[in-house]
Amino acid sequence: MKKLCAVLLLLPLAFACSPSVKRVETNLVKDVGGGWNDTDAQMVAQEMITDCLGSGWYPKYTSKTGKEPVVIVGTVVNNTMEHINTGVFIEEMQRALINSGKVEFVASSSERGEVRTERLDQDEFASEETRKAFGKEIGADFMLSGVLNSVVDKASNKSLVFYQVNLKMINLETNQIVWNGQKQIKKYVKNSKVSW
Amino acid sequence: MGLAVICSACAAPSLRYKKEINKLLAQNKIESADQHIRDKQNRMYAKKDIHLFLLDRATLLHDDGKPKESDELFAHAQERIDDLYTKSITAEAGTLLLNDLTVPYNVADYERAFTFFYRAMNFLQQKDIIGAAVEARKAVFFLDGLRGSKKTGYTDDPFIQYFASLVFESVGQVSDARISRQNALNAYQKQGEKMDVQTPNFSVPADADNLGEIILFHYNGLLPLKKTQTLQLAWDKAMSIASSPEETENHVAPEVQNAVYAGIMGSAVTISFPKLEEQSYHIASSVVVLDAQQYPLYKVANLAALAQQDLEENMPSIWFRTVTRAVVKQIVAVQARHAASQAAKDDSVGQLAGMIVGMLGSALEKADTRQWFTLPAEIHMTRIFVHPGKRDIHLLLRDKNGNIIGEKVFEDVIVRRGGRVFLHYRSAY
Repeated sequence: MKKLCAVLLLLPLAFACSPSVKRVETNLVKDVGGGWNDTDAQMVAQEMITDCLGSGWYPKYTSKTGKEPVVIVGTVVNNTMEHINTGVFIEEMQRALINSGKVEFVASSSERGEVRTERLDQDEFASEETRKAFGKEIGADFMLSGVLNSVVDKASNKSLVFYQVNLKMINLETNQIVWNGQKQIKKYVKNSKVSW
Repeated sequence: MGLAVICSACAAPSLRYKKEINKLLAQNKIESADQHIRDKQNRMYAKKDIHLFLLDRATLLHDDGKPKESDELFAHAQERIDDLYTKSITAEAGTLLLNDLTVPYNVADYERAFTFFYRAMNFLQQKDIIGAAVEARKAVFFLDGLRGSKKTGYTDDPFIQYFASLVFESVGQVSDARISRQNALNAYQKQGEKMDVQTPNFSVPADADNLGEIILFHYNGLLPLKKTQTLQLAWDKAMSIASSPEETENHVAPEVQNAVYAGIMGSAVTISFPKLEEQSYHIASSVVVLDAQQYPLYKVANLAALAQQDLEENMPSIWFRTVTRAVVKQIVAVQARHAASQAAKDDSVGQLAGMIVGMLGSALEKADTRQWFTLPAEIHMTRIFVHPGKRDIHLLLRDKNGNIIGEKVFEDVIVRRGGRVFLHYRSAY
């Protein structure tokens, strides 16, 4: 009887749970919820930028102008059913572009705002030798923008999620679309129906 | 004490508690209402019903003009609702042995649909049209699933489809907007009369491209509240007691009341089921006054009717579980009586044992009165096309006789050319 009471009293401790935390490598591929995650953003950005810079428009431009193109990343519209931080995806694309060494890269419109504010500040407070002048920004030659779509097929505890990322490289002077890339990802998610 | 321990696992917001919150809401003391919910969280919401707590709070924060805080709670609530897909076998078994409160609250389909609406509105208040579009897509996907899988009951929501069409238009997804608009019109034609709602019919002026648009939602009234209806039947005495036990003034719990009645009646069977109690409110209609013109709002959603419909849809399964529990508990009480009689070789001991087991069974018999009760009873809306600029917008609230009994002024509303402004206001009196 005493043993039984002791077991009953201690039983809750067996189920008492504080959250467990485990640090993992940032490049660990782990799908937890079945939605769009950082691995998808990295993988898609890397593959699409590689495809973009390897396509015909690049050598055509460099041979015609004799210089590397200046690129800016515009918006990536989220047309899926998930709240996806497209900022992460855009950062991945920027990283891939800069690290390729094949393009020159300029700040996006939101970043430029901050830079211009700093320049205004310098105009007032910085010494003449060190302040940065206005009117010397490099204009972009091309803009990369795109859209993220998804199609979900769901039945009971299973769902099939299909993501499609479409990116376009647009000539800012002529509006020509010089490259149109697409990357697809499909995920099969199964939730358990029962538990004890 | 054992009763208290068992009953604590079956916590559900009491009718008294819901009415306290509603009273604060009616007085426009939304912050106080939210604080009261937080203060009573541990007492009124079981851990497994955290999503219900989040929904009740999130609505109030939305009404209080705190879209960011509201959306954080709605996001957690939606995650929890998705996680609850997995059903626990032991908890489900509990519904046939103890009561319906052993399982986490199963959010009604219409409640789930309205989480998308509220989140979309929260995003719109934060000028995040993309976020709003995500919620609109989720809503439409969910409703498409219902239309495909259900034949009766809540199979579509005309108001949410219509709202989704407005959001899709705002992000330039014209095809999606057209499809949702058509689904909305079909659903209004099918359900409009039964639900006592009007099909939105707002004309778009020819020079709409040069104008801006104001879309105003008036969340009105109080949702009917679920309460427990109890029947106690004593087979041998041909007695029955019907009651709607609530927590009394001196905090005597309904479970204790049920146990006492069962004890008095001896061999009694207790059956509890939920029923809805209408809540009174005075505002019947509203009108916007703008630039010396009046624009009436139309009732486009009737959540009170949806709550009623949902309960009716679930009553057959509620009855099945209630009756099963009554039979099981009666068998257990009879067995307890026989076992005690045999062990003590004394019938009176057996009768006492049976009565105690019966009282325990009665105390545990509780109707599932959980609901997302901070929703409004109805939604009225209007769409107004205006010249771009800044203006104050007056919303006049009328009683059933047309008398103006309240007013809300939206100050310095900026409308841009080709733009849309989504406004909302909650009244509960």
